[in-house]
Amino acid sequence: MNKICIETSNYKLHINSNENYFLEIKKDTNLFIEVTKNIHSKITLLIKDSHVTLNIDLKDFASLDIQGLGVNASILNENNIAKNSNLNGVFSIISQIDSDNVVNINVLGSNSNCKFFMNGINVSNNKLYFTVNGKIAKDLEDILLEENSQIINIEDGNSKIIPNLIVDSNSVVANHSAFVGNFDLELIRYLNSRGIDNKEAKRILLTSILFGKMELRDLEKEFSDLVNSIII
Amino acid sequence: MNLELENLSVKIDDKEILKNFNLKIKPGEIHAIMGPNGIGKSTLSKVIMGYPDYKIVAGDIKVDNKSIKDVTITERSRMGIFLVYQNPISIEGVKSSEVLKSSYDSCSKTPKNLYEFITNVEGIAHELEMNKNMLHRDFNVGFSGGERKKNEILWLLLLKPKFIILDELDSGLDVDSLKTVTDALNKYLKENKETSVLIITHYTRILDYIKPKYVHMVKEGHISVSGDFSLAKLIEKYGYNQSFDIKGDKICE
Ligand SMILES: Nc1ncnc2c1ncn2[C@@H]1O[C@H](COP(=O)(O)OP(=O)(O)OP(=O)(O)O)[C@@H](O)[C@H]1O
Ligand SMILES: [Mg+2]
Repeated sequence: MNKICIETSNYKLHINSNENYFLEIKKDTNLFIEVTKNIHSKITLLIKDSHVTLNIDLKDFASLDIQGLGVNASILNENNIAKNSNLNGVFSIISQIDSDNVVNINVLGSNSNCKFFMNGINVSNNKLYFTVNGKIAKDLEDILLEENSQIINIEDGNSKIIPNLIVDSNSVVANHSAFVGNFDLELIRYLNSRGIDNKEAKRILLTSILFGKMELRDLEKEFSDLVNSIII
Repeated sequence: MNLELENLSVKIDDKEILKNFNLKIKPGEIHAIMGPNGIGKSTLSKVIMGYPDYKIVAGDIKVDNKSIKDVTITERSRMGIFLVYQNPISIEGVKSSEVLKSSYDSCSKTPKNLYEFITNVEGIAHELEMNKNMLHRDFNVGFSGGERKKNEILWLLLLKPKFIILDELDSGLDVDSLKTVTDALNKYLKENKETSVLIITHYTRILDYIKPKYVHMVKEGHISVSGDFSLAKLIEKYGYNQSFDIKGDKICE
């Protein structure tokens, strides 16, 4: 695991060996990540109080698992996926301030898979937007593209998800799902019925929503403070 | 625990599901409620548990002669009411052990440290012939129907309730698992003589494993016939559409 704290406004990460990274970002940054041909990598991103432009280039036969936690942050993410490559993305954004996020997924070559999850927690009465655009270039074959987004409003926040799929090919499995709402009452009540009060039930469900699709290990420390600070 | 449902009427939205429902369960008694699909059996279990969406429009629920109408789900659980759900849910990203520990700490006055807790839970898991690994997997995620039910019973044995509702316990459990699970429950009941049980079922199979003293048939929102174990056998034989007569305390065909 390579730990990098990024403090410049432009940073280029060229990944050409099978290594994993933990990147911490605390100021507005343009981040470029290129995963070279045949390389497999995992990246964990922790973004605090800043806006990040994140460009990811996945070359042929490359694969990348990227998980990001944004706290009062926003992301403009552009992904270019070449043939026979694999991108798994999970971004969780927790925001007490307005946060407008865009993910563009451009599938440029055949035999590629991409799964993208966007999870949001809108803490107060702010704005939290996700726009997710999936684009599959003309005449590609054997593509799997999945975009799933959900935002949970803790209060009466203004949250919106705009999912788009532009598919110009037949041999494609593409789908998207989007949910904006409050905590799932059935789940809360189930936990209540085992003696767990609402506050603790919400803590458990926040863990589930934010980290259900992530490997928590790298973020565990950040996490408990964070969740505890959200639930009052 | 002493539980009483008095002339209970319950609405979901505007639909009346339970009408004038009466039932008294004394400490240590085992009752079974039988009825066809969609009649309101699971609704009843959630009403006893305190689900606020199920509006009590008339009547009362009492525990040890005190109304619990205004008691929340969480508080009812801490009083010792435990509902084994017909369809237990799953929670992605949170380990079983973590959910169980949170519940255990919420309910007990003397929280155990993590080591004691895990040892305790692993003991129960062993008794239920569950794989220990399941404790370290996300709660119920990817569990089979039977594994979920076992997880419910594990949780039950951990919290040591005084009033148990089993909503279709046998659905999802194969013969061997049903035996394991009901053996563990019977052992618990033997050791906790004040604990009462309400078994909700549409099949009699489970009643061969946990023997009820009373069997009630639900029709049109309330109990239409009550009897002993033999009523269950009559229902099995004739179905729910048959009307049964009770003469004295005898059930006649
Ligand atoms: N939350 C709800 N909203 C609307 N209708 C509901 C709700 N819960 C239950 N119902 C309705 O109430 C009726 C009783 O449902 P319930 O689940 O209690 O039946 P049941 O007797 O447990 O059936 P089964 O034997 O199939 O488990 C059904 O018509 C059901 O559709
Ligand atoms: Mg039911």
